[in-house]
Amino acid sequence: MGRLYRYSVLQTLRNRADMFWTLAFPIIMATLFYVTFGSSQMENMKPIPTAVVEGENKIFETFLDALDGETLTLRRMEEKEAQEALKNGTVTGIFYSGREPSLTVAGTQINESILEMLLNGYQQSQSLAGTIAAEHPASLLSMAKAMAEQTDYIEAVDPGGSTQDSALDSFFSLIAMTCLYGALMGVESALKLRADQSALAARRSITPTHRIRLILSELLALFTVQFANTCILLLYLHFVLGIGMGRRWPLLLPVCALGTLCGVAAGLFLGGTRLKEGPKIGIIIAGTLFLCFLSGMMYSGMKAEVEHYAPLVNRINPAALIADAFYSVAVYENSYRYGRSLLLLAAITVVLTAAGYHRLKRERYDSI
Amino acid sequence: MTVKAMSHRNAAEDKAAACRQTDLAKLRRKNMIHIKNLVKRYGQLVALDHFDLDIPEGEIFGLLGPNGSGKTTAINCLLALLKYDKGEITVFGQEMRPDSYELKRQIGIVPQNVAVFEQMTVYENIDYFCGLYVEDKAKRRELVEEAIRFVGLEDYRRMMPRKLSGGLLRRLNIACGIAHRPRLIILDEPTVAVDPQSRNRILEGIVELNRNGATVIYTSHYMEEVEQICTRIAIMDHGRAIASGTTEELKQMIRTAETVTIEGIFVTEEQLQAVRELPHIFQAELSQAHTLTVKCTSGRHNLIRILDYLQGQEIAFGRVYSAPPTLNDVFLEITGKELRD
Repeated sequence: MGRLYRYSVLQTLRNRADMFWTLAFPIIMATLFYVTFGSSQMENMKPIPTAVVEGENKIFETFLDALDGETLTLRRMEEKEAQEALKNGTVTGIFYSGREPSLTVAGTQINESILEMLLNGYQQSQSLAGTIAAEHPASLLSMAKAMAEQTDYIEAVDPGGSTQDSALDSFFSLIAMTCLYGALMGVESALKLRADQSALAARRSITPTHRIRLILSELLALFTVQFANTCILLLYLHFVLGIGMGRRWPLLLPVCALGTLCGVAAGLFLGGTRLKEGPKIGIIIAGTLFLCFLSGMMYSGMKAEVEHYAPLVNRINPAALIADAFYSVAVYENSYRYGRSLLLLAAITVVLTAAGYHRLKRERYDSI
Repeated sequence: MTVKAMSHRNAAEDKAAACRQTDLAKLRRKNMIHIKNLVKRYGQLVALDHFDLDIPEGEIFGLLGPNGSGKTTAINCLLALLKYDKGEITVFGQEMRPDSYELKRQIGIVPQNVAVFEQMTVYENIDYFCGLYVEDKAKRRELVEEAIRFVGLEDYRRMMPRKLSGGLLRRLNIACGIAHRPRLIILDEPTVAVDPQSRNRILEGIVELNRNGATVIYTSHYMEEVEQICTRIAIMDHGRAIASGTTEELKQMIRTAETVTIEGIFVTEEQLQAVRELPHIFQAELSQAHTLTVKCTSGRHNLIRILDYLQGQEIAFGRVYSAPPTLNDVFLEITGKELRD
């Protein structure tokens, strides 16, 4: 068994086409995404145009002034003018400097969330800000900057499961794609296991080695290689591109493992059908890209749209489940959603593995 | 002990030894493969039509037939890879089933298409396939080295299959099938698309495998190869074994005992008819290229008699050949068509 496993790993690693699609291609895609989203994120870092309707709360106004330039572009306006500007989109939000400061925004994008966070931060530290303003007015600026810095760690989160961070959507879907591309290896492997698909498979079928040993050694070998490929991609994303994976990153490993197993099992299942090799590869590439599209790889709002109109699709789409589990760990720190995604992914993997084994265990055929 | 008693004892021992030898001979001649009444259909197409075959141990048994005659289907049924509609197959006296692992351990297969891993070297490929039969690492290493030497791939052991020529690739294909020293080796058209030098080496190798104790089933549509190496032959057509026996036995089944070919000849219809009426001649055909082919039944001096007639008629002719019957003649006479049609 160990020898069969070693040889299967060796063959898989030497298969240049498969290694390109399962390792090099995702890394290239990640780099392209980084280049693309890198520039848009720079745009997001521009100061947020914000209107201020002056009132009696001078401390709050001083607090906002401290943020003017770097985080906000403040424009003092009358209420009517400010509402017109918000309607036109020339400002993102309106701060009202009343006794109880308030905020009006027109959307739920990341900039609006940052404004909201700034207001919340101020309100939570209101008494402290008052004391600082009264006793150490010069320190108010430092306090405001400290609050603004917190926005760097804030992602806009929608309890329904969508996020406004398009870059993370794409990167997490890309990881899902890499996991599922294990199916390419699965198809190759199935061709070498079913006697009606190749002479090599026929030759292996008439040996005294039990069928389950052949299938298991292949499954484990493919899983090992593809899991390693996915981990390499994660390391590349984290250490080279600087994509944050959260404090609980070890929880991502079971997601990658299940996702990879799911991909390999899908490949073994599809490889076990009587379709020709070309259509099988086509189905895998097109199918994986479609699932990743639904999970937000090409259009960041897609997963939210699917969640809104057909939530069941997000529950049975392995790419969406992988991406969602990643979000749950890296962004939301939401254990329930993580567990749910992992369980659903495990269920799909078990079904696909059983179906794949059923396809491949056959030893006698109607025609060869 | 008296001389008489010793003599009795020696006689008894001799008798027992003779019995043992007879038993051994019987055992040796026992059918290694027995196929009876095998029927395999692909939809409407009958690939094997009540096919019968018995292969004794120690033979190089040739399955000869044109493409599509059912040779490979028969082999695949024999190996329990294909389902069949009807019939009985036993190997080494036991029913062959997909889970007959002990039987499979004693069989080596060299498929028609080269079946090796593209991403593994020559050595790794042979080691992989040998390892499917032999668990012991040290023994396997020895067997792999032996197989590499046997097929003459010593200088290529670290090469990838894609870098090997067609002939070398075929040799690798053979090595993968024989490395575990099987009792029964099935070679399915192993010399297709192979250069003459490699072909000769492969054929010599097969004979050597047989000398070393293996029973060989050799399928081919090359009658010369089958005639050259096989001790017994079954001729297949349309899924049936239409004739079976040694080469000589097969040739004796047909009327043709000698074929005389005369090139560059010009004869009238009357003269051609006169040739046909000579003793022991049952067929004389003149081609448009002015080649006269005369088929003779057994009988001596057929050639002299034909040439005497032609000289008597002052008929000019070019080169003359006389040849004993071939397996193609056997096939032609039994089926009415050429083996390679």
